[in-house]
Amino acid sequence: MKLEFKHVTKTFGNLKALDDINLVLEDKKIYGILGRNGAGKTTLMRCLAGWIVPDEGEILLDGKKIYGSDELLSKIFFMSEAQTWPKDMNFIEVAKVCKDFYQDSFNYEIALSYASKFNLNTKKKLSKLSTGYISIYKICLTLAMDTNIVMYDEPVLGLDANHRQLFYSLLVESYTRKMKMILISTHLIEEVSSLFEEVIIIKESKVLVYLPSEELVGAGWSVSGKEEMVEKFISDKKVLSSNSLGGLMTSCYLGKKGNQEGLQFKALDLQHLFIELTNSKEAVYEN
Amino acid sequence: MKIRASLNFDVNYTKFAAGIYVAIRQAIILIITLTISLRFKNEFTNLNSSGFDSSNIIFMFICGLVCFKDQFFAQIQFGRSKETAVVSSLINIAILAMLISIVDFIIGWFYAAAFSGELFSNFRSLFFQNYSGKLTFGVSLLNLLWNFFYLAFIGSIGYLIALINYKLPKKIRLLIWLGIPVLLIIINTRLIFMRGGLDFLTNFYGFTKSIFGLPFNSVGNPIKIYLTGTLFFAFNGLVSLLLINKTPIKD
Repeated sequence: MKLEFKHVTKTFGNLKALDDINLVLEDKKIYGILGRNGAGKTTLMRCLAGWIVPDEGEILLDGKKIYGSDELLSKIFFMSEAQTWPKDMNFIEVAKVCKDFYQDSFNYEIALSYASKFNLNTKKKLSKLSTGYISIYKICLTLAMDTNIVMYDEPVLGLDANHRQLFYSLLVESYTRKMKMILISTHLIEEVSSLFEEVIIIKESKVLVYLPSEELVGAGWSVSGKEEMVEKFISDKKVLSSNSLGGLMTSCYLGKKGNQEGLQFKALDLQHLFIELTNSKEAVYEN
Repeated sequence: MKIRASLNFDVNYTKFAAGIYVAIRQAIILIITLTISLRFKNEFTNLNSSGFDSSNIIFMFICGLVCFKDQFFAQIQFGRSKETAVVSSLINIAILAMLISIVDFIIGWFYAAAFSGELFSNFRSLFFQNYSGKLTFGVSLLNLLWNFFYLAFIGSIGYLIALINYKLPKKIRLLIWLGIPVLLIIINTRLIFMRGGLDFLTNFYGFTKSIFGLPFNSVGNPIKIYLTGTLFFAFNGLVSLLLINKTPIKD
């Protein structure tokens, strides 16, 4: 299964939410979709779910247009923040509805067992649940989905650390139960980065980075040492940021690890790299 | 178009509310009839049962609104296209209209056939009035069709209005929903003064009714009613489909 975004552009009034997005995503991988608030992550997911029609371009699943096709849309499940869930129904009722809509792609018993692990009151209506349990309600149903594409938009919103940990372990369980394409959009990068196989960073409505996560982790470094030595070292590098204090300097740059004596090098983790990339004024990364 | 699950969801979502509504409506009619029959022994030909007919209209209108407000978005969540969701909701509205019409048909016909309209009282009670036009099977059937067409039409109006309301920006929404009633009041008042008195208001009401396939007076042309009802339902459905096409799903 191949998912293609071809020149996808979407504008809301004067705001360009997506600007010429071109991506090819493969089956059976976990993708992290990262970006600052308002970067266009949710719009991208909503376009894929058929909720928004792009102004330009198209989204293809195995070469077929997704928008308006029940056949293709039923292969995609989108756990959204939006108020699209039937708020007057309890978890058991909605699980039955999911079974009716998705049939073999939804595991009813597994959904109930996940709800039990999270201590979710399955007889309470969605409208009566707290913010954290609304997320859990959605998470349990989404984790039980075995559609070809499953998308999570801010899945851990309002969850405490214990529940977040449980979610990550169940996400792995769900993925190993049936390999599928999983797209996760989150701001808690550090917690979930180890799960990502590929990372897509969106900055100001455009795809800034699309790389396997292991390549991305070695792509950025921080160098520390005496100011003049660091300045000399970074003079031919793509510098993301620099800080000086009392004659010492720390710089973050894109490129390979250096080996100069007197300088200390440390690989930037995904979160750190993301912050540096999205903070810098210019899109400096070249895929 | 994968509509089976969508329709199943829609029907299940509304059947409970519809059941409660029908039960309460029939109970109220029965209680009022019993109360009147126990208390009074004279004829009450001036009693009017149009309030009960109006309750069907109001219920179907609300159902149309809710069909969009709740069920449409749920279907989008469960992987159906917007077009499928709209078609499913409109079929659901038609099913609901048919169910309400059938309940009225069965009760009216059964009451008339079994008890000749004189079970609880020996005069023209409210219950009798409510079903007075349905004393024979043929007339009851005619009423069933009439009920179905205009209730489905009213439901589709509710759906369309909810959709338009969703599409409009907040400021324009406020302007329109406040502006239209004010405009209608101004126009109506001017017309009353221009045409001389409230007689025109009755005529205007009758004229508006006839546009929408409802009888101008008490008797309507059934063929015209069925035809216009179907046409307006189809028109509302088509407009809904056209409007939903590019509508983004908002938070």
